[in-house]
Amino acid sequence: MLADSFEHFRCCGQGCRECVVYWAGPLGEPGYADTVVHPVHVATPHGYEVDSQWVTSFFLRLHRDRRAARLQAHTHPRQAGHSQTDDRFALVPAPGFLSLVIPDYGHAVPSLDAAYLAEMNAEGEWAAREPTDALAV
Amino acid sequence: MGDTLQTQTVTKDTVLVTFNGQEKSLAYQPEEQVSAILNRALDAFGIQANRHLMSLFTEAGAELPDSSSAEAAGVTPGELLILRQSVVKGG
Repeated sequence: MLADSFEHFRCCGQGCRECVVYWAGPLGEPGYADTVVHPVHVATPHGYEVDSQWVTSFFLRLHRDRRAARLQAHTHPRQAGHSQTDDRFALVPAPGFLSLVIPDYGHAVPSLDAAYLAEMNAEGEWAAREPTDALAV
Repeated sequence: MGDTLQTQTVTKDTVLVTFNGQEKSLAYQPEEQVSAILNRALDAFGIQANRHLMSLFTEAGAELPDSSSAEAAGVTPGELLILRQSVVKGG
């Protein structure tokens, strides 16, 4: 999953733009993801925005296939962290959803080193998690 | 002959709302505002964060206007609506 994600970051972001992917898994298996999904999006060196029609189609596909998005992973230009935009405009603003941020546009060997991970809690706030503890990749 | 019991029938229709693969059936009345259905959907899925940034969309991808009645917005009984962020972005 991590290697597939980094492949998208390298090919799409080209080391100069942000990129985003989603990890999805069966609805009945919380905490498990088996697919990397690369959305239609636009990106700049400092941000990305997912195509609105794609979001609707993706949620319909998840409903039809009884699957769910578990995690969003996106890149930052340099240091990884969770910006206010990341806080407010995540794909799934619901408890248990994970948001992984990869530094240096993900233009490196696939690794969780220097990555930042946040999880939304029951109060709707993002709480930092240790990526290597929370993710078995 | 006993008295006739008269009742007033309140019609409640239902819509299906999906959010991140899950599905909930929600009752609604045609004349109530979309925002009321939206709030019930947010409660049903346990969404606390940035509720004002969430909207209901049709399968065709049209965002339902919060201030319209369900009927005026074209919502029909049994319709599948999508609960999602109006905008998905990061940076």
